Amino acid sequence: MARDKRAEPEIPTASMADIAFLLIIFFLVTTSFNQEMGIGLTLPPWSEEDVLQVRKKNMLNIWVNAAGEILLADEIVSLRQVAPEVDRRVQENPLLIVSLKADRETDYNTFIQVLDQVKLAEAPKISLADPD
Amino acid sequence: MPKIEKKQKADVAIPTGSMGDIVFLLLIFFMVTTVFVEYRGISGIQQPRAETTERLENRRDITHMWISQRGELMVDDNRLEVEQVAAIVYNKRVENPEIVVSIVADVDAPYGMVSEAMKQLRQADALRVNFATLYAR
Repeated sequence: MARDKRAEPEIPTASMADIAFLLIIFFLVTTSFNQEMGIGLTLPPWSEEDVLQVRKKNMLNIWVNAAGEILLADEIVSLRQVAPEVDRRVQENPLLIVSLKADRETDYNTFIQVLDQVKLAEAPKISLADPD
Repeated sequence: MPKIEKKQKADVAIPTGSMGDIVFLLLIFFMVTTVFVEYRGISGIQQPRAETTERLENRRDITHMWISQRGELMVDDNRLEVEQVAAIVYNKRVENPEIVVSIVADVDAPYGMVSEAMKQLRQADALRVNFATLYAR
């Protein structure tokens, strides 16, 4: 039997690298790692006795009770009022320290909402007081 | 100035024929070594939303602390009591002083629990914390 004289079939491999690179780039672009998000805060160092003495006029107390009511410097305010109020007080006194104190039974969401508002007002110092 | 004779150079060429194989090897290496964390922590935690949410840098430094609605607590993959947090986190802080503890707490978690946990973090000298939140729409 006479063999057909065929041309040797060949797949061109020169562009293989390009194809693979395209694949890599595709995966690079489409891969999304779940990005960590949140509100950052630096806690004060631990000390047995509360040594920090702050002048009263530089303190702004915000208390949140178990029902989610907010007491800002002895006035009951709504959540939306927190940011403007804190902002106003910080403008008056740039040394102001905002002390946020929540009840043990306060739900975390309320706490975060208030903290968010205080952060929104760009308070220079935020302190989290321990619940009683 | 002495004249420098030009050397006759050999034709220099990097063979590119095996480039494809190299790239495929790379691709396969990354495909094999990449581990996606599918699930970790306590399920069903609903994070609060906040307007001042920021993106966190340095994923490597992050240790997660999960607090569920019922007050269950987990640090990375360990189910703990609140009193144990300081010891565990302290060890982590010794390994990596840059540690950031991301507190992932449910919207209905009691604040007392979070506060206790933060106290423990302070005792462990892990002072950089992050309250995990989602962007508020």
